[in-house]
Amino acid sequence: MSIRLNKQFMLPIVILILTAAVLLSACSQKSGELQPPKINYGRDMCDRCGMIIGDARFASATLLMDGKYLKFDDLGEMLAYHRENPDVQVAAWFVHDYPSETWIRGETAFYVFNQDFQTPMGFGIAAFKEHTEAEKFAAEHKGIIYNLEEVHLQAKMMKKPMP
Amino acid sequence: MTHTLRFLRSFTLGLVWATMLGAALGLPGAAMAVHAPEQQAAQWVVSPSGPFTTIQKALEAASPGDTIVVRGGVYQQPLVVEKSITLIGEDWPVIDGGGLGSVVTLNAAGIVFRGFEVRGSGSEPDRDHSGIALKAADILVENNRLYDVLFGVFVARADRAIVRNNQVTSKAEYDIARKGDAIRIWYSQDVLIENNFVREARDVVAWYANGIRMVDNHIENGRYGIHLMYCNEIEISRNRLLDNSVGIYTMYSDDVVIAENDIRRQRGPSGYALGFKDANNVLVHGNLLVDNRVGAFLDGTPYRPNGFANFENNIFAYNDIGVLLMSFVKGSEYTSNTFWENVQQTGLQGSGKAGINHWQGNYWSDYAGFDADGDGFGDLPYRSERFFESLTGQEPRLRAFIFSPSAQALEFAAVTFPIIKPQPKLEDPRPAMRPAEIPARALPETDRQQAVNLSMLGVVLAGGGVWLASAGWKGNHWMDRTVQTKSEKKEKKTHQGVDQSPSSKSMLPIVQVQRCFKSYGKAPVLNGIDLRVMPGESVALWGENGAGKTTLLKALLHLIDFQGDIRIAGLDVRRSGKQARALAGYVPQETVFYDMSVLAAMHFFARLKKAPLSSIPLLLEKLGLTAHQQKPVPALSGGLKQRLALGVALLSDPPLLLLDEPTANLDAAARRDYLALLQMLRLEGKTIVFASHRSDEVAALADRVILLEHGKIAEEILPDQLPLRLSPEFCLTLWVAEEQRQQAYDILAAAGWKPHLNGHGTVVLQIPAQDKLRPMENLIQQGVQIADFQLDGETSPWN
Amino acid sequence: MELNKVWIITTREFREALRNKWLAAYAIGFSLLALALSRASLAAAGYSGLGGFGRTTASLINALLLFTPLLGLMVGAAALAGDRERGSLLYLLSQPVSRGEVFWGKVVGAILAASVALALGFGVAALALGASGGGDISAFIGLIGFTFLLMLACLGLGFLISSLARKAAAANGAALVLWLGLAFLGDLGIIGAVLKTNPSPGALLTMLVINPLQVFKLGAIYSLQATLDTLGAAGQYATFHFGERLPLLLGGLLCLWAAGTFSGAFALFNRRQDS
Repeated sequence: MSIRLNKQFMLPIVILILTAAVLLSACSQKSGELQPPKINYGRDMCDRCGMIIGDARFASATLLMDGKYLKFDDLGEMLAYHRENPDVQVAAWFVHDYPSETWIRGETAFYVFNQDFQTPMGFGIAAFKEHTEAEKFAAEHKGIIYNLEEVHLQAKMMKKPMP
Repeated sequence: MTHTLRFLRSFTLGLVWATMLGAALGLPGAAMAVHAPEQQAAQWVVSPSGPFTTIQKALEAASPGDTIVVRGGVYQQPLVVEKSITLIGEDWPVIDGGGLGSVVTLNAAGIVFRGFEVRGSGSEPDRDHSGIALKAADILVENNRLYDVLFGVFVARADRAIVRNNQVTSKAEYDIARKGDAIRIWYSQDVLIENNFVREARDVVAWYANGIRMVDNHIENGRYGIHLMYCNEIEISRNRLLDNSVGIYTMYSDDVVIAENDIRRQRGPSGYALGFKDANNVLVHGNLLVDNRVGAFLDGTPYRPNGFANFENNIFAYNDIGVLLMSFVKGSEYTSNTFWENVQQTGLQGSGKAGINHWQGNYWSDYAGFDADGDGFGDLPYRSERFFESLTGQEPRLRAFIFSPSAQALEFAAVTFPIIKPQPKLEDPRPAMRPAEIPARALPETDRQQAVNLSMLGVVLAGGGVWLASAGWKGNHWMDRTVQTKSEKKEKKTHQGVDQSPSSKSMLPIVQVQRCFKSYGKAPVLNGIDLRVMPGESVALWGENGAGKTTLLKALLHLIDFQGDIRIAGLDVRRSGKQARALAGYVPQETVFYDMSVLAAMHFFARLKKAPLSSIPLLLEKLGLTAHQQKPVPALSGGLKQRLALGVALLSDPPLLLLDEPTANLDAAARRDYLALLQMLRLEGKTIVFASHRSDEVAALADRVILLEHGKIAEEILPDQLPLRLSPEFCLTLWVAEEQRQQAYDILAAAGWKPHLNGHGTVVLQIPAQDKLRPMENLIQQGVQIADFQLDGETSPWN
Repeated sequence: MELNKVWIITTREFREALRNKWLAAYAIGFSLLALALSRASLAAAGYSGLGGFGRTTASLINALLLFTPLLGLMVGAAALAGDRERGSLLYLLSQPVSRGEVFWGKVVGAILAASVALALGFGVAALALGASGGGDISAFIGLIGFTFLLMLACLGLGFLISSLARKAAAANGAALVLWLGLAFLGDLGIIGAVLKTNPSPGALLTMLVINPLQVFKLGAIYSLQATLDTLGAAGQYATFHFGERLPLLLGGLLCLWAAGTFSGAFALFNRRQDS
């Protein structure tokens, strides 16, 4: 009798464990493509400065070799973070196309830099998918166009962008 | 400390200068005085009825130093002021920008702008569309109301501006990130932000601005209450910051004093009352930080090795975390603060070796030490070393379990087995024994009404509990009142209809069992029982233990499930078990009553059976229980208990009685009395079905006997046949004179018996029950003298 | 089913429970806990008047979290199994009552008895709080409500055990094991899972609310604080997603637990016609 009793008590526990397992496996699924992270604007925090990420146009992210994402509220924060932490291995860079506010890969984007252009953390960088758009914007804001490598070099010089 | 003092001194000097400058340049009287020598200051009036109907016209006419008074009314059109003019609104004139760019732009030094309602700015996020934009030095903006503007007051390259007593709120339709800042200071030095009321705008933020003072402002429901970016020599004091995401966030800034602010309920994302990122030379004192996610958060602060971050006399109360440090923060100092009931007093975030910070003389509400020498400080250091808290530092999601029993179990394990003991987060060698006084400005108002309400609730709850408990305890109360719903009354009627049928049509069987099967596991207990009992009959179920007697009785009451068909007075016990049971009084072999008195038990079952309570005394009398009616049931003897059970069974005067071993547990006297009672009931016409393995019961009660064997009816006999069936062989012992013993033996052996001789002068033989006399007849006929004989029943001397 | 008969059995069960000295002990325990809890978190005077949810409050909620289920599970587990073992259940069922009337009578009786303990405990606490200057009455009522619902859910679980077990000792043992599981082991399992698998806040919240004790905890904290972000990401997720509806949802979950367990227990009790 006691065995039968135990079986009946096991059932809910087994169900519980199964439910938990299903939930967990559902959460840890990942597809093969390198995908940008999902950012909850107004709630997620920048991994460098701890501020709330509020503006999609300047939100950026890196995918690390270990599968983790870092999220930033300003393109400059991304550049600064990886300058300060050179041992963190990056698998992919993600930035937003300024006009369309869509994710694009940072490696192929064009960056327009002008200190007077207001960005959340004051770095003054915007990213573009199309070179023509970048040119238009650079003309309007008196900015200079860089690629990812060049903009890294620029970022080195603007730890504290005072006038 | 020397750092602090030196910094404080230079800072105070700076403030004095700034204030004097502001007074000299910003105040309207002073401004007039400056311009007075050049020409006589004129006053111009704008109102819907003239002389000027638009402010622009008046501005064109006015000269620097003049005053324009604008009367109440709505003035559509953005306003750009290029001259050093004093603009004064009377009766709240409204300037409506019509959704185009900034509403009011002040482009000349020394402008005074006072007493206006400003609304209707544009809403493009990157264009700083503002209510009032200050773009020159020494401008005073005060007593204005700004609403439906993206940004409120934009101080852009406007040194020594004063923004005072304004009410600011951003465009209501946008969410918080899309709203503009209430006040935005951009590359402006020595600005004073004072006594403004800001709500539901994004931030009050200063970029690249030195010598800023923000005092006595009230900021609520924003994102960053106050935000400093790359600002130096800042004073932020006596502000109230409520319900913002973050209270005061100081980033990349030096020489900041934050004093006597009240910061409560910063519970948005991050939710810091005070946040510091790469800040240096920070003095934080006398602040009240209550009910925030984090009281103070430090990342890279102090920034420089010789910099400082000092927290003195602050109250950290009821925050989720009092002070949260990134693990590499080092060199911050905490002196004489009160840490009151923060869910987590301090926290370390991130991995890596924790830096050294200094804690001295703080009050900790969870300090468990003592102060033997009475100097107001604990004699043992306060140590913050909690395993689970350090776990949440590495995996913040685990906060979901903070203080849960499992977390406390882990904590306990960590204390018991020091293998997983965490390194202490901090040590305060001289913890204060008493918390700081709550500053008068922050004392909550006591609400008499609330106290009264709570007391009333308490009375209701406690009184209700006591009342319910006493009602239950005493009994005989409203609880025992009978409630009847309509359907129940109906049910009762039909029930009575059924009730009468068996007695009127007495030819129907009162018990009818057809093809009844029941097995426990694989062992059949009832194996195809068919049985009919007519009203007034008394039927014994006879069999060994395990033959199925009790099971059959239980099946009759549908106390167990079975296959087949059982009807009581025509009622299917499976479908109408309740009505069927109402017709049958059941007395189990051993009755277990609850712990109540005899009378209470009778009352309880009477109500359950809907029997008239008035019948109880008679019944007790009949059963001889009247003298015992106040006794608790467990105190009764077995015989009395059995009578009580019978009494319960008889409560609703049922036609059928089902008795399971009615006298099995009774002594001889009690058995006799009890059987007499049952005989009386039988004479009264009750149908009785009883299980038994006592022949005296059967003899006294039964009309017929059903023999059960292995769940089957083996045979049905009359009660007087039972003894024969019971012991088919008797043991006959004959005392015969010694000389005739052999003769007797031979005669008996010749007749086919199997006699034995034993050494006591007896002949012993086994005989069948129906032939008890024949051996003796044989012997007597042959002339053998029998001195005596003994007939033994169920047991024989040999087995 | 006749309500009248249910009520007759209810009153008897209730009376029986009142005679049990454990109930008195529970009532006293509740008083002390509720008193301490409301003093620490709801009193208007002194520091607690600053209006907050602190360590003491958190630990007291967790004490309630241990105490209430213990009472519910034990009372529920004893309700059927004890009577069945003694034979009094059989005797009761031999009377003209349906199994439903017996079952629900016992349920309501147990609920009444447990409610007396709750009402006395919280009543004393409210009186003391009122006498010492008042406090937030709506938060207090919310706390009572969630405690009551947790009690219901745990009584239901207890009845489920009770309708499965034949022996009172087995039922008590199972109740204790279940209590341990709900209060400790389940959470430890989830803690392990969190450290191993990095679930999203939503998934973590789902894992949490499978356990009625955690549902109570969320509800109680929400009553006292009107937000769950003390609980980190999962709590913030809950507050953000459900907002004002949160107490209703949590209360509804506990009600579902109670309804599910009670009806499950009834189905089992009804099916097992061999007692």
